[in-house]
Amino acid sequence: MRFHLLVFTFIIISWSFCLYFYNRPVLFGKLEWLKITFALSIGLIFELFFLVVSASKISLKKFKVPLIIVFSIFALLIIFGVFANNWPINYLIKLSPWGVVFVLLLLIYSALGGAILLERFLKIPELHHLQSLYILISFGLFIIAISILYVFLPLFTLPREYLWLSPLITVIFLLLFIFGYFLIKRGREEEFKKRKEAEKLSEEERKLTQAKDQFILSLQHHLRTPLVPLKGYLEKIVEGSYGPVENPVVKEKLIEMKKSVDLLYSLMENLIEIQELKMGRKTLNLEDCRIENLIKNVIEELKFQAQQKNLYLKLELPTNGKLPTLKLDKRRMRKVIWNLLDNAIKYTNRGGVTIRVENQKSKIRIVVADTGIGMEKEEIDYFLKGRLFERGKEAEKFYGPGRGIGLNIITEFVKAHGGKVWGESEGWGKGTTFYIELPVKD
Amino acid sequence: MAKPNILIIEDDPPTIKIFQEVFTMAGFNVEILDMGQKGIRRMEEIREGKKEKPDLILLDLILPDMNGIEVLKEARKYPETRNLKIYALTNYSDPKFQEELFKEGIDKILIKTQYSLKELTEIIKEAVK
Repeated sequence: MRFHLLVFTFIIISWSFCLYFYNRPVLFGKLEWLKITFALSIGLIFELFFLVVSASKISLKKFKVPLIIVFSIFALLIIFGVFANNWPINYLIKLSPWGVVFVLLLLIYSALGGAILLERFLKIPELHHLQSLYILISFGLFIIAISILYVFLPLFTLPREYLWLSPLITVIFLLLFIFGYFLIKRGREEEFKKRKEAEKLSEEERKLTQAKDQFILSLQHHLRTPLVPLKGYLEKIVEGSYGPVENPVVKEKLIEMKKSVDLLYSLMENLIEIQELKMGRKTLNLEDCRIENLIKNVIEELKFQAQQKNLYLKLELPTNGKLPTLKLDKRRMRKVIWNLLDNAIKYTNRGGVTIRVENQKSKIRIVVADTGIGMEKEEIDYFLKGRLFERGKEAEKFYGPGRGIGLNIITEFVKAHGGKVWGESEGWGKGTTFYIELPVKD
Repeated sequence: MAKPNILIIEDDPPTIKIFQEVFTMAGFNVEILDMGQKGIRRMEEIREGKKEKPDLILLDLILPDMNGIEVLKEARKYPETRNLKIYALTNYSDPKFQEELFKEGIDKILIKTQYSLKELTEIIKEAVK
């Protein structure tokens, strides 16, 4: 569109210049200037046509036949004009066999140009940038060629020894045209191929994702099934359903086993839940919730863990006013807070963990800052963006998957609430601070 | 008082074993069918009066020969078995599938791993009351 506009403007300006010189002939005679004006007029008509087409976004497919007829008539008129008038082409035909070749070339030349234009405008509504440039170059050459035929050739026709110039010029134009034509064709084919490939790829990706989702769904069944007797029997043995477990060491080990099975179970449930949330298969169960109470509960639960390591566990609530009630999925938000605090305690050996709740405009920010071993920036990204599973090698050098799953749960659950999670750390040994922002909805 | 009859349609042998043990100890008459086809056959037999109606059916959804939902559909199709109490007791928790189950008239969906055996026993006791 922009190219057409540019060429159109250029032709209009040249056209007005020609009209001016037609009245006050300089360099050539009046007639020559008239001929240039004529050639430019043809260009103007073409350009106007393209402009209207690109501006109106009309699909030309419907008008294929009438358009071909109009183009053919147009081409015939030009050629007829060449023969009918007493213009240089007739001299050429009369004067040398080259003239015949010249006319034939002219025919092919117009046909090719027309074919390219037709093909481009009939088949692809949106032209590639480069392709429209080639069309315009070809088209410009077409106009120049006509100008040369009608205006400059008389200059050459007089001294016969220069006659060979005209077919040469035409051959050069023809070659340029063929070159342009194949460039366009190749570009078109490549574009077509690329589009096809992209379609195929996205289709494949969709299929893969579907297969993966289905796989995970079936996996949940298979992974849970052996857990039923495992959990059940352990539960019954520990509670003494099969008689007392007299050996205290055996009993202790059994309790350890039960803990591990419970952990395995909760990890699996979390992973399934994350997957279901990601797939949009599960929705949140939102209810009014006071986040400070939820945090207090979790602190109460983890207090013992912190005390054992001699760590402080501080909660700082805003001194100015109350916190708004939030719409949260209590069970899942509890998991978020639990995982954050549990991680903070696990990876802190001196000092402690501070939880700060800030009341910000239209959102609540929860800050969990520990004085622990800290994290690399890269590492935080890996975990929060769930890239732990994407980039195994690089992520492995940090911790292994233990910390990642917790953070992955945090990210997915907070995201599902429309919130944000990010982390900051000065690096190893300098503590980590995690931020959660939750929107306050009316 | 007669013992309540519980029909469990389930295919995983260790699971069958522990359910049988726990629910028998809890005072139920437990019968196990390990194939979907057997469940469908049982519905026919109940219709023909050859077998007694159980007080509760615990239906696993992923069975070796078919999807458990087929058994549910078969039961809900005929007036004789339409009012049977059927609980899905499964490990397959796809919410989309659960929706379908409710549409077909399941009474409750229980995810096996989400309950302890004690809790499950309580739920069943409540169901057969």
